[in-house]
Amino acid sequence: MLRKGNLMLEVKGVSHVYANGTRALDDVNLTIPRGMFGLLGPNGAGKSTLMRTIATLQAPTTGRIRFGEIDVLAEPDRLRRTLGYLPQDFGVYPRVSAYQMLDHMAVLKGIHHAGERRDAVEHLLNQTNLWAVRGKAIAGFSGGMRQRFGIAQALIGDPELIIVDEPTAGLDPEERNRFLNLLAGISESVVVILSTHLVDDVADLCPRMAVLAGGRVQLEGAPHDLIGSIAGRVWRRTVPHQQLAEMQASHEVISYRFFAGEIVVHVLSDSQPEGFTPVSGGLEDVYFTTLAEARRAPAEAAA
Amino acid sequence: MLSASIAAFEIRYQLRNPVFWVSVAIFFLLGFGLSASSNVSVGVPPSVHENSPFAVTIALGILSLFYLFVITSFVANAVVRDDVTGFGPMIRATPVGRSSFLAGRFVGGLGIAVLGYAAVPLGIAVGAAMPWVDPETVGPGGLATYLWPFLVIAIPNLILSSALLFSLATLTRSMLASYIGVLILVMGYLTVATVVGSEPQYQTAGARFEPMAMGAISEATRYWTAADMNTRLIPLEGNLLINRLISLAWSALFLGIAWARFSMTERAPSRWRQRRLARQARRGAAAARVPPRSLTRPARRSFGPAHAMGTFRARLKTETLQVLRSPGLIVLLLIAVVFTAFNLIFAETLYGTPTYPLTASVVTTVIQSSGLFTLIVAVFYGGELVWRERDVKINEIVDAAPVAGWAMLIPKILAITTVLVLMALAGMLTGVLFQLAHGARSIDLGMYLAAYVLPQSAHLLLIAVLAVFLQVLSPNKYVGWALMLVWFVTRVFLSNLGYRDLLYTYGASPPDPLSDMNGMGSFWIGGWITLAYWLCAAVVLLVLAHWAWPRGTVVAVRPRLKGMSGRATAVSGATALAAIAGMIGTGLVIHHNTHGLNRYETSDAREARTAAYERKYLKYERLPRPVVTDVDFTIAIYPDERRMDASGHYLLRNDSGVPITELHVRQGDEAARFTRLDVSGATLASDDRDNGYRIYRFTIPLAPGAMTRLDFASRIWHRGFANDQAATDLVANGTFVNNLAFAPIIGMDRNGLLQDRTKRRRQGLPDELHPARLEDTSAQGENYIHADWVNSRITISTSADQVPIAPGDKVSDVVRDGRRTAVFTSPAPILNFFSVQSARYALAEDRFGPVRLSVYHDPRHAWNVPGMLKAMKASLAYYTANFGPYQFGYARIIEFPGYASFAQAFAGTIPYSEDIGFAADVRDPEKIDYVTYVTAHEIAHQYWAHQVVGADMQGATLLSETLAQYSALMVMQRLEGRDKIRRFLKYELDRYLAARKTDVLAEQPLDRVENQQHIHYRKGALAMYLLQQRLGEDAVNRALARLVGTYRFKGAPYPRSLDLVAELRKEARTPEQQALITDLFQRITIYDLKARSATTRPAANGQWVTRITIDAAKFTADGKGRETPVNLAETIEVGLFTARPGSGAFDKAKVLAMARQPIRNGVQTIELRTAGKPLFAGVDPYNFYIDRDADDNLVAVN
Repeated sequence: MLRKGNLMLEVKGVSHVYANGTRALDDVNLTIPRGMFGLLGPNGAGKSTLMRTIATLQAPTTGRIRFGEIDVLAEPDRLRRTLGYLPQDFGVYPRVSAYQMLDHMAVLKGIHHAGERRDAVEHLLNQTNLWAVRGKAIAGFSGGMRQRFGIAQALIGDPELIIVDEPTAGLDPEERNRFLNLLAGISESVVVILSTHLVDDVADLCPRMAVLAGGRVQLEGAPHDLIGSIAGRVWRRTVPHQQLAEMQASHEVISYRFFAGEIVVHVLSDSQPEGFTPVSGGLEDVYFTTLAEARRAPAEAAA
Repeated sequence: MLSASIAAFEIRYQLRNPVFWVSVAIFFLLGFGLSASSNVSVGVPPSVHENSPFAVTIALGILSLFYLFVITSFVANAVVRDDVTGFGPMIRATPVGRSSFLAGRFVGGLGIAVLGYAAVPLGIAVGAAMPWVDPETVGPGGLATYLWPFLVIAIPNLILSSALLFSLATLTRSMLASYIGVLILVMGYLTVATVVGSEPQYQTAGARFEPMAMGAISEATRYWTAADMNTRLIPLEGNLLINRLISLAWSALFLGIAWARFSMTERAPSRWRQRRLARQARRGAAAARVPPRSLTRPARRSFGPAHAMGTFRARLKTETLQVLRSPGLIVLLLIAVVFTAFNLIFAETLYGTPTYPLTASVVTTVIQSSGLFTLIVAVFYGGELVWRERDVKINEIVDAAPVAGWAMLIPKILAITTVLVLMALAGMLTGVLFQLAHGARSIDLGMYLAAYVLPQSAHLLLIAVLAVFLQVLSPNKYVGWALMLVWFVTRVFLSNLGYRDLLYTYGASPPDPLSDMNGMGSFWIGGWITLAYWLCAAVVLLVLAHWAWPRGTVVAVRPRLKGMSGRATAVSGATALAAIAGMIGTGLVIHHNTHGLNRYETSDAREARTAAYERKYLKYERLPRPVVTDVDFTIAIYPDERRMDASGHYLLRNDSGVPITELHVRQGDEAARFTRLDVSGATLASDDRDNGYRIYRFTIPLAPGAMTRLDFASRIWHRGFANDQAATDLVANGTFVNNLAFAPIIGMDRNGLLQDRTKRRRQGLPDELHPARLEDTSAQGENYIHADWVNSRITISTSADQVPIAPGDKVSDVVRDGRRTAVFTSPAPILNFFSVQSARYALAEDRFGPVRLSVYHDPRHAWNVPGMLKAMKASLAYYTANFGPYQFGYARIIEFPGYASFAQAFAGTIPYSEDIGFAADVRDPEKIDYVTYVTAHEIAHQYWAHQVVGADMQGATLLSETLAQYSALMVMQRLEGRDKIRRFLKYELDRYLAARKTDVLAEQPLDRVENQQHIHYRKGALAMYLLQQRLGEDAVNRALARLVGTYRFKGAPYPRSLDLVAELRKEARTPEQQALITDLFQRITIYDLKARSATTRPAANGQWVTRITIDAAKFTADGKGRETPVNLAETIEVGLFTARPGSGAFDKAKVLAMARQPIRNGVQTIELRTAGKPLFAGVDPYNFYIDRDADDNLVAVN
């Protein structure tokens, strides 16, 4: 068993190049301590590749991954014993009920005492609010129920590393809250990696986070510190929506949103541009700023 | 326009559907097999090209029935899909009208069905072009050959099938229900078609209404010659045209139903479904009220060996349940069971008479009929189970769990094993139920398990493992299935080229023939050893599959292959090494058996060797040789060892009239080893061991009339198992060996030469070897059996529990030291061609005067023994009264195992297969009692072959087979009455007509028959029967008795067919009778007699006056079947009946009038008066004449 004090996931120099030449991960270095870790990134940033690599489902082209004492790439089965993994998109066997499937997963995760397994399964079904529908085929579940089943199977066997990949996609706000609540409840004693493209998920829950874009870690730190780092650099202006293109041409627009028929534009600038008011930036601004800088970096390199 | 785009979408959608490509592959292979393999046929005659317009037409018709199952997936899917995928509401919300939506979907489904079915003609065309196909078996082909039947037969069938399924799916809204519906329809169709198809009066109705047009095709082509079948396109006219129009009308009706029942709005759930939902809701609520248990402390987890076993069990449970619960399994099981039951019920029977369900034959049928389905299941599930986790997208979850790779893989293999065993058990259950339904007395469940369930499951498991292995080497399951297909075709290809060594043909085992008498014999041993060998190979494949298993998200093949070394562990490596060691060990055993103990030869090598033998030695065929006059054998049979030791001598006499310098001595069976072969006064001049051909040269040429002596000792010992067909002559229970196998043969003859025209041509030999012409009197020096008249003394011994039998009077029979020894001596000359037998027999006996009648039979096969004794008695009564004295004091019928299905007459002894006589079920009086018929035929051979035997030339078998058939008919007539004989005549006529169309040899008149069965048996029986009708039975028998008197036991010169014809002509009193003899024996004469209509009306004094309209014609034909009309002016029977002649219930009481009337060419009317009201009228109602359509001779009276 792992010594609690040493519990930390270290990703060192992990790169992955697919057979078609796509560089999905490019020298990723992360150190993830106990607690909830948010991995933010747009679609196609390499998040799922990183998640699967950590979850032993594919080997990276180069790099090392350690979880506590476990060399993940050399001893994948040892990691699997303490891993809970909720993939981004999963299905289930047809004609199998939630109870049967969870019981099956409990066996695979090493719970062999029948009575204890029953306790664990029923406890988790109750915790994920699936108790009433435990006898129904999972194939007939709604998106939220299925996602809750996904977290139940990830949690069974008390894993010390939990990886959840885009877990809140498709959930309604109430489902999402319930789900995040469940995660928050267990995240104190174990490492939880929450991969998402929704800033709110991270902002609400994660004491630490990283932004992954273009296969590279663009930013890493505590959300609070990161927000501080962009203070005084983000500015806001409300304009008619026809002027969006004009704004994008003249300023570095990091985000915009519609509000009452007009458009609210956030731009990045070291000094206050004319007509803009300062924003006390949120994590969203940090994220978009990072993405904007990431986009700019290759462009500059090319120039 | 909208419909067109919906249809186009449908086609594009289905082109991506794997079912389409799998079905294309299967139907391509079926077509390919038809033309590329001589073993696959849709039942076209052998002389008809496999890619002839006729064969293509038949193939497209028959296969369209099985294609229904594929169409279900296209068409029913087009209807059901939207509800299943949940796309329904979206589709219904579009402004597409019901008509254009349905039209689009239907046309799309039909289009893809037509596209897929094109694989059949494509397969035939490609198969016909394969290099190993004999050019004589294929025609020129050409686009029209394929296109026309496709347009006329396939497309209307596909339209009808699609429309039917369209409405079926609309009504049931379920794929499974559609499949089951199709299954029921197909089975119903086959049952009705089989029942109706056997009744000639429904022929026209069948031709018009039978939806797949098979009836119409057979009606339109019934008079086609082989040349027609090879060249003519089926004309779209008459009943075929009507049939096609009716099929299209049905299609319209089905589409109408679908249109009326299809709803664009979502239907409310049915009441049944509502109840089910309510029940589910109640159950859910109840479940929710139960409080869950809570976790007091974290569950303990362990990852030792217990974890490995625990995960293994859990995976096994999941895999098995997944397989067992899949709806496809039920469908497959159903199809396999129904197909098996169908094959059992409609198994081909002799004379249309059923047989008692002996376990061996039922098991054989079950194995044959379940093979293809289970093969498909093995291949299909092989692909499914490798990719299942990926298909349902649970792979990332399961693969990230701490489960050992083997605990994932092995449960999958076990699950598929479960399926295969279940399928075999379902087949077994079908067989057992069939046996029970037919009143089987003993059911050998052990044989089911040992000969079928276990080996078949194991063999299919091998296939499944190969499928898994190839799947693992593939990036997805379609590539895997395609690789399987490549393997399958390669195997067929190599097998056709003669490469079929068990050591490199994956999963191959030597054939293990079954019989009821001998059970599995020792043939299963080779099967299990090869099975062990290939199971070891399968283990190696599994270890490799385990190393390259697609765990995780990487499916690309190369990275997995690269990672193999990383996954190799000590255990898996040791397993692979142990399996390889097992392969080497069993492989050595197999090699010792197939290459050491037994001769291994590829079929190509054997063919070339046989051809070389013919080139080298056939020239000695007419070399003068001394005849054998006396044989003295001592034979010891060791049934358990499958060994026979023989020794003895011949006395030979030079009857040739010239001095003989060389004696050619052959060996008839290459399994025999001659340890001694000495000819007194001669030395061995040449010894061709390869061909078993020895030439001895006399120091002083053997003078005419001089005698010499040949001494020999030989051994036949079937040890171990051979690569190919096992020898079944020497077995533990049921040995049946003839003397050509163990005793030397004097002089060259044509036995053992290549027969198959294709092979002969391939070897540069003439297509066929014709017998000497009738005019070649020099050929009278040999009889056609090439056996001399000899006196015999045979001492035969076997194990004490068996009965040894040889021809002759039994002069002693003792049991000593665990051996039973009997001595037989011939009381009269016998042909030097006879059999010896040994088995655990029960004996039933009777007497006919001084003749002791015996039936040696398996104690369990006693059903027909009394009938056989009765038939022997009746036969001898007729023959001794009419033909002359019977030459022996005994007549014996001896059962032998069903490795072959025939009865054969040797001198006073008649080996009789358990499969034909002993298991025949003749209880139903409607069925032909062929046990009596065949027994009478074989007893008749004691005269016709064993007293009078024809010279080795054209017409020889007229003197044996034709006369034996005639004799048997006369016995049947004595036993059953004159009015029941039609059934036999009709049977013989139908066989003759069917075979004469298809025989590759030119047809000969009876007096020149070249050992053609349909002529000497079938036509011969008809000709002789008509002759005795016209000349009188006594007159014909007088002629036959004179023939016996002249030629009894006479050596060269042997009689010709013309000698019989001459005796018959002596009995012909009128020019008409002389002309009839010419027509029957010396020409090919065909009649066409037809009753067009008959009307009756009451006349004065209670009588009835009936007018029958008759159409008549007569032809002579040449050898190629070209017919020339000739004048008809004969008196032919016209009759009136109260029942249809030919049924089992028909007898003399049903005959109102039966008298000969003058009949001439063309249409004529005949008026008859009868006392009762006739219901049926007919010309030649009992089928005395060779009538090219004997079914239209009778007509119902109006």
